[in-house]
Amino acid sequence: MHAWVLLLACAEPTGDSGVPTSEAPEPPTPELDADDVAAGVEALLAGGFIDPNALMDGYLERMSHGDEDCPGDPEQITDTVVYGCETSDGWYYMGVAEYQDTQTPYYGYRELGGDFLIRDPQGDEFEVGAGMSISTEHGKEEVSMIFMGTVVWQGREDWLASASAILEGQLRPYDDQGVLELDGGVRIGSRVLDLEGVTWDPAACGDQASGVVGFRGPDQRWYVADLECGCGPLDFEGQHLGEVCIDLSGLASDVRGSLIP
Amino acid sequence: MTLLILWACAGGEPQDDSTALEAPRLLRRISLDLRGTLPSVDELDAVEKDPERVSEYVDLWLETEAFEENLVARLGERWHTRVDVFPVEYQDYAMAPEEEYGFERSVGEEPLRLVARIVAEDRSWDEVVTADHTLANQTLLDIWPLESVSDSPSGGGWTKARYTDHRPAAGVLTTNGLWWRYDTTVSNLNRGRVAAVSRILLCDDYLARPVSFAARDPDADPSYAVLEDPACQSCHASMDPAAAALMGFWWVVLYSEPEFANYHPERERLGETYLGVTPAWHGEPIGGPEDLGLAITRDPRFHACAVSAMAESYWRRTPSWDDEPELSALRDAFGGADHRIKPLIAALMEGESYRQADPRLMPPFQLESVVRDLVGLEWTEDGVRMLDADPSGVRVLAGGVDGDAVVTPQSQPGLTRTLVFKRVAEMAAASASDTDLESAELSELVWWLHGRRPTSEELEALDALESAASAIDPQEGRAAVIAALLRDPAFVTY
Repeated sequence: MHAWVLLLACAEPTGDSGVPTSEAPEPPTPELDADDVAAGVEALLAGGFIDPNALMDGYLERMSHGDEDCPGDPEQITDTVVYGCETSDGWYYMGVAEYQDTQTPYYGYRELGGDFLIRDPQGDEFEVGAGMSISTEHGKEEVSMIFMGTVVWQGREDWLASASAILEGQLRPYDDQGVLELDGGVRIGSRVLDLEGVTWDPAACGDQASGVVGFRGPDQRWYVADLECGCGPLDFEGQHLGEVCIDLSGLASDVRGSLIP
Repeated sequence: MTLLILWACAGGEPQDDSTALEAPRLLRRISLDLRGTLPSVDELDAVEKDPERVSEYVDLWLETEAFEENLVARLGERWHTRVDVFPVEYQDYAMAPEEEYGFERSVGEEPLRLVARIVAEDRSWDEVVTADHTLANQTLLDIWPLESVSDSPSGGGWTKARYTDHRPAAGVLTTNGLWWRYDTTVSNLNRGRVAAVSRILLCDDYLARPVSFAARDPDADPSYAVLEDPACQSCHASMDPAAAALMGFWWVVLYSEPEFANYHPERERLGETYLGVTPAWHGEPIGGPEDLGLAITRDPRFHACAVSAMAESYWRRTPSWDDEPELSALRDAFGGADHRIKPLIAALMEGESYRQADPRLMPPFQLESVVRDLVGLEWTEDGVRMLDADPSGVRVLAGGVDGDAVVTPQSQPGLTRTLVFKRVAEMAAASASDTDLESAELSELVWWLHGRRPTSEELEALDALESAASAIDPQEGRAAVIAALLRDPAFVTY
């Protein structure tokens, strides 16, 4: 054993030390400035923002065209049709989906999870691989939301046309003056946003947001703003790009509108 | 058992494994390894006269299309992506059952085709993790967000392509094919993928590391233990930051086609939230997959691993410490060739280990290509290439790798493999009418199929067999000889 160790210690270096070298690439050059980032975020939000309630409403509407055999339930798609079924009216259902909506005086819970595709007779597809929920605690006057997954809905022109997100949110108390907080990443169409502890506190900043907002540029790199009441420094790969103001008031308004019971 | 006995008696006398192959038999090995076919009689004659010409054929055959095609299957033995089921299945794309096999091979071969094309075009091995494109066939172009960036397909319908879903380009690290094989879950968070990349590209298998959990608090939350427990940190300290660079491929709904088929740029920055770390490669901060690919190319293990992986593939055994002098020389040759694989393979084939006389058994992909070339045999059932698939096929039974349950090629003979050899020999013999096999002289036939000159006793035995079989059925005489030669250890070994 000792001889082996000694032999290893005396071996000629072969260039394969197993230790990564420390050479690092040159930092990239930014393709966007502060105005570009603000405009990009505005464009991303033009079709609305991730709204689990809107998606679940859309799901129920699409499901209302099914019949007793296909998919066999107005709210669930079970694995009996995992590889597809078609109604006499030409509606096609495929996959698995589980929907739940429980509302009581004390709490509310609305949830949809699944991996499914619904195609209407015109051929437009509504495809979802996602889980989402809205939880309401009336005693605490709090509401929280989660959306994780992807939706593609042909024929739509709003965010539901193509979106993907891992997003969590809370609103407390659940009224116009409550503090809204969002965390996660959102892609709508081809534009991408990252929200880290972004809050809207009407008492502190009116309808403007505070927190870290990342915007992914066409160079596939991130431009990150640390906002305080809507404005703050913009950084790119460790480089400071000046100040940026990003108006996220419309986003907050949309989310509040959906979450407030 | 029969094969075992025959194996021991191959060539009439026991072989000394430490000796080098004779030139014709060496040429046969090289031809099978590079092209998946036997050398022609003329080629065997040429090296019999002048053994120095072997190297000439290596250079020639490295430039053939067959080399690239053969390399795809060879790479599959290590990359394990040519599996028979993926989390998203052909039904998700409304394909017919007879399209299943083609779908699975298309998906699983995407990263292998890219690697093979990089090698075939004599580009740097670094491009395996830095290339700005992938390779796709029509199936993948139809089902994934891909666009062809080449005017005309080549290499069996595979063309250069780029993803249109705004994913970074980092060679195999940004291919669906690799990540469909190395799936992840909500809680795994790409860690298994980093382990796969480490095994395949760095020859560092996290699963082989000795880890003691003796001192670990059994009640501790695993999410925090991987960040704090020293035993866990022995792997997770380097694994988790690399996993954070792959968050765009983190899928949160299992078996969901839109989740699996598309890149998710909005998840790129979520590593810190869900893994508790920011992207890094062994302490060096990085961004996404592009940076990960570059960091891997700067890791000395990357190039060293390419050498040992190629050595393992062509030597048909795991390199050992005793091989270090030869591997060291190969690493030097690889570095001197700007990390191109073709010069490495050529150097490998000049080496002592490659040329040793110890016999290697044909893997199923070689057996398939050889009989296809000899007699046009395509053994398929319901559109499935039987030597290339499981469980309806016999790939594993024939000693191959299915990439899932069996991940190492069998190096020893066995019962099922012998049965496959027998069955293939019979089918090939039955397909040999109107081929050169039927018209060749017996001595030439042995020379061609086995790469060695037959003894007079062997020729007499074969002649007797042909006569006896012809006496039963005049059409079957030559077929009996061909079947016997094709299941002979001298044929199925190389």
